[in-house]
Amino acid sequence: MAQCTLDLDHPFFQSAIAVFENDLEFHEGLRIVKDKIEAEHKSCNHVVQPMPGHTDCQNKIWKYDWAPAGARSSTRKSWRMVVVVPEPDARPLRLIAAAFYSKNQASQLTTKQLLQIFAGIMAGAKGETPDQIIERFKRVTRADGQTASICVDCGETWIAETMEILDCIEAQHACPGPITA
Amino acid sequence: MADMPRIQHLHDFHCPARAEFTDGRQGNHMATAVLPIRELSADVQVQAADAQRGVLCVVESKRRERDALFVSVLVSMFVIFLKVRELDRSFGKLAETQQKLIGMLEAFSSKQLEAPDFAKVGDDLSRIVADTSAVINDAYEMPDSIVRKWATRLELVQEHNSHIESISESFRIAADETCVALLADMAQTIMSSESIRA
Repeated sequence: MAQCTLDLDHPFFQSAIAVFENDLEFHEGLRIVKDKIEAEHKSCNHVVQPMPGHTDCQNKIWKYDWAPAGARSSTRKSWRMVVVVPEPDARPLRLIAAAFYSKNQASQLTTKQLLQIFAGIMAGAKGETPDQIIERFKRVTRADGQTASICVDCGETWIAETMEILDCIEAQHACPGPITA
Repeated sequence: MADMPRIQHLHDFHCPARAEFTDGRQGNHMATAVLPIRELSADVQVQAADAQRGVLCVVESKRRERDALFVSVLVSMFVIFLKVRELDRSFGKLAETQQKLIGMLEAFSSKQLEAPDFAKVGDDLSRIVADTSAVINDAYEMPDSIVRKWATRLELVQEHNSHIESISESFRIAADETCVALLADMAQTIMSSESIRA
């Protein structure tokens, strides 16, 4: 029996990789990385995401990297996948791919860019088609009890104690458009 | 050689993580558990800077070789030969220290850290990723005959650097309450849809 299985079908992940629909090289790379992870879940630059303030998610969010074969230099393209592991102590492990983003291997994304990526994936997945975004803002409750609103297009974030304040801010937001890595 | 001015920055090389160790005023209120990680991060940064100096030295020797007389060319070739070998060892040493740092970061329990610690360690890691990337870029710009001599170790350094970059990103996410809440929301949405399916 396989040590673990990696499920790539979740709508969040499918929404994130929708732009690669016809990219055979990408899908071949994804198949290879899936095989590698299922054979050894600590391969492919496995990283466990620390989740301070969210004990229910501790040790349940992992990340993996892969890159197209043959490319070299620190500017080569690289892909990163975020997976959710509902039961990290169960065997066989079940990994659910949740988010995906591409980057240059050495480039470091800012927190604002990461917020935009995660909020965009969650908002995009709720549309009727993978690329249809029906929410312009994603709201989350933080560990300190305050609510944050993130613009899914530009990653701009506001934190407030009441929804009314966020309603006003969102209504007035003049979005400069997507930020680029 | 577009990258030559960088040599000036190396003279002013500064390790904020190491500076804090020698400056007890700042180090005292940081989680003790973080100190070994920050010290090893500083080691990686210093070794990356050493390798960078070596690469620039080879670049400079290659430049001189073009303008030199025959005897000087032979001397220059010998210097390059020695430097290339020395650099191979430097890349090996850097890869080993990176591996140690990754091992230490993996074994580390995030329960020992507060958000400000995540930010500090994340910043240290970001710095060493940037420094190491600069070395990798410069090394890959060398002639193929030289790059081939380092290829295995350089690939390893690059692979470890990418891994450290991912850990650094995780720490920066952990230091940002909104970003970590967003990831938690994503995970909970997935886990609840899984339990409904089950």
